[in-house]
Amino acid sequence: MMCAHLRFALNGVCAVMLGIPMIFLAGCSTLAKTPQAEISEGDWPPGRQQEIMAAQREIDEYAKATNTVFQAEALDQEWSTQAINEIQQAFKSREAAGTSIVDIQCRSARCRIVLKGDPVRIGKVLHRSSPKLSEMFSQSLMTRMDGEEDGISTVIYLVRQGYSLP
Amino acid sequence: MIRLVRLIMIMVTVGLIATAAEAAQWDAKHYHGSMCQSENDEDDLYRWYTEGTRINESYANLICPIVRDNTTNKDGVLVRVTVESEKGGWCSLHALSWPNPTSSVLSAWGAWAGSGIRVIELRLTNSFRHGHYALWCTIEEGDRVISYWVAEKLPTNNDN
Repeated sequence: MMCAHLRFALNGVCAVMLGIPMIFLAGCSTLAKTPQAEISEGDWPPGRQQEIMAAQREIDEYAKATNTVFQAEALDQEWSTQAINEIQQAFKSREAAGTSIVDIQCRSARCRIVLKGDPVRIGKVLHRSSPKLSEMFSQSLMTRMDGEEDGISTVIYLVRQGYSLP
Repeated sequence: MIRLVRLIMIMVTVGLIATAAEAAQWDAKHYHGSMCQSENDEDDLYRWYTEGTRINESYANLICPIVRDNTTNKDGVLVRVTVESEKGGWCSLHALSWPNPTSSVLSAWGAWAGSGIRVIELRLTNSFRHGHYALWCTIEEGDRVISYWVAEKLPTNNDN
């Protein structure tokens, strides 16, 4: 919209410059059109408040959708036990000092882990466990959950090899 | 017999068109391994045009920058890391949320064992609008990241 107004104004200035050669008029018109070709009103540049709110809403909706898919899953007892064991081993490492597992559930294709502690340290534990994780899991979503009583927790959804996030 | 040959030719043509269409959906970039930086400024790294980044420490955590060209897609990115290693190592690929990068993080992992040149594939099938990507690799003494290849879903024009 801004570009359209700018172009209209510049064209107007060009039009009132009587006596100026037509070639200069053409040059003004070209100059006024340039910005519109490079910048669209849609997604760029990000930073406006409504875009920040829309991005946050998308993140929240995505976390909810992931949880809905997890809650609807059936239980594969054998895989669930094995997956829980691997995750617990990862969080017994030296890097995991200061973090604790509050809840851990694995179903047939996904696990949901609720953790307390520094999220940077939790991220390091996951990276350090890459060789083991890559054998069992394809991807993960790590997000923050603001609990009413127990403050902020980190929630991780781990996805079994051969499956994907919603 | 002629009908059978015609049928095979049609199937091959359809297959080639489908493969070309699949390939056309991606925009790939190939980065030199020397772009990888150590997490720790004191680590002893060696960079050379044929080598990429080699480390002279017992191990190092490297962060390898990815330029995200399609900044609004929500269907992820594909990365292939070429490494040379004696024992093994691992990489993790992350899609971070925006504006707060630690609010939500999507991750995928890859690992290798043994010596030689390897290509490790990491695939994220989801990503956040406007968030950035990060590649994080742990390699051992004498090992190196030669290069890494990043493929994004089209479109990657300057509008997004």
